[in-house]
Amino acid sequence: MNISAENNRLSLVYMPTHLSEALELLTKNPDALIYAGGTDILSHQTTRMPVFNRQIISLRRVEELKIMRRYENFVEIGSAVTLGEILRRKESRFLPPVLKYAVQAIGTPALRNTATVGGNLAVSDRKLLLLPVLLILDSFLEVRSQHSTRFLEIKRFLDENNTIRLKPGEIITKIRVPTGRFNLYGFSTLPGCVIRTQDYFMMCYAVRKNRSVLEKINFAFNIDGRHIIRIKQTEDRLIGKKTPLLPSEIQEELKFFQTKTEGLLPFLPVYKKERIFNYFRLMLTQEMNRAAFIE
Amino acid sequence: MIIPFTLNGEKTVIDIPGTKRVIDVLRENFGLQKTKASCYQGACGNCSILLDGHIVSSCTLPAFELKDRTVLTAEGYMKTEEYRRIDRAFNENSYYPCDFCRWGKIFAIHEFINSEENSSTESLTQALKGNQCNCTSPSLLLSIAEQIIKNERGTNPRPEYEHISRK
Repeated sequence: MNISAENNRLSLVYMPTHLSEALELLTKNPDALIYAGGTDILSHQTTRMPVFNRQIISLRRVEELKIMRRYENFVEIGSAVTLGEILRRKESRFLPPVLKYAVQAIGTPALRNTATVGGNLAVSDRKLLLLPVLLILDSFLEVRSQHSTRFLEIKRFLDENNTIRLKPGEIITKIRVPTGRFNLYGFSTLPGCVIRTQDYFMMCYAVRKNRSVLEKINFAFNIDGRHIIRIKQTEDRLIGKKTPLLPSEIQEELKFFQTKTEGLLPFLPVYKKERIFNYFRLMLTQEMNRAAFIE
Repeated sequence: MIIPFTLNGEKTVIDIPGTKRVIDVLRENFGLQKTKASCYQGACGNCSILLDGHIVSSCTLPAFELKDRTVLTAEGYMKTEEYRRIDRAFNENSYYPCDFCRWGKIFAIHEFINSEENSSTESLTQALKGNQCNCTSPSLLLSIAEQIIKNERGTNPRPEYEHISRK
């Protein structure tokens, strides 16, 4: 077993080189901190000597988690691939553009070169940018523990608060992003907002349009990094409709959407509800009429 | 924790607590004072270094992450030809950022030169947004960076700053 574990006087750092070793270590040390990019952990501690768990398992040397491969219908991204690499690697040409827009919107180039895809998904106290984007793209997650592998659609890992929940001893190993399912994408964040603020807003959508008929539409909002809103009924209602939508159809959909969001987030201030509503209206009235992206 | 790594082209081994921030390792253990410590949150860009050739914030990096990697700090980058060209462009345009943000800005330009991103003003603005110091005009930095990138990538056949004599 090629693991370098060294006591650094404060924490014991394990640096496994194979996934099986990392999973075995995690089983033996269930309280260990899984360290991938570490940007979230360290940016929350402004003391000069950051405090870590007693044991740290660094995934940086696990090559299996750093692969990025293109297959016929999907691109597979290892969970330890950094966000900067997603933009740099040649396989990223085949990724849906909305994912690249989202990655570019995250932090600064220096942060993107450290932060990893898996880390962005696994942060438990907030929902970061990639989760809603991967959700609307119908992506799959591979989650492994020492003795089992789960490979399911990302939505199946979400709890009632739309947070990814992993069992003890499990780590996210791969993200499979389907390609060619949609041909119109959109992504917007409120300008100048960073996710650490209390007033954060992001919307993304993916649409498959055949001529002018909406064949599939997925959209999601990220509110304040705390709530992910995806209303399946609204998505289903729009399927089969022809763009541009008629004014009466738009009014009908807006009304339905408003009743749904009112019920979902009763505690949100009015201006935030209006913001969601306005972005949805913008999507229906303008964005849907754009020409489809040809792959 | 014993950490072997390459620092500014020289193989180095150091025995330090693995969770110590890289910024502190560079400044305290190696005396590399051109890397500045400010926010300790990875937000200001002043502590930027090149790790395996790519810009990272050394304040959000624990020392154990350096193991078997290559670090280039301002002191090492100063010896490169690319730095001389960037420095010349700064001088020719009378652009003198303060000592705190200078290297963050230079490394951001380095990162953009070596990326495959198109050199549109929008993507360049995005690339430079990691430096929040406003000691000098951000729009001047943007125009100088545009000029440097055009010259470095060979899209500008006549590098303008090479024809301006230094006063």
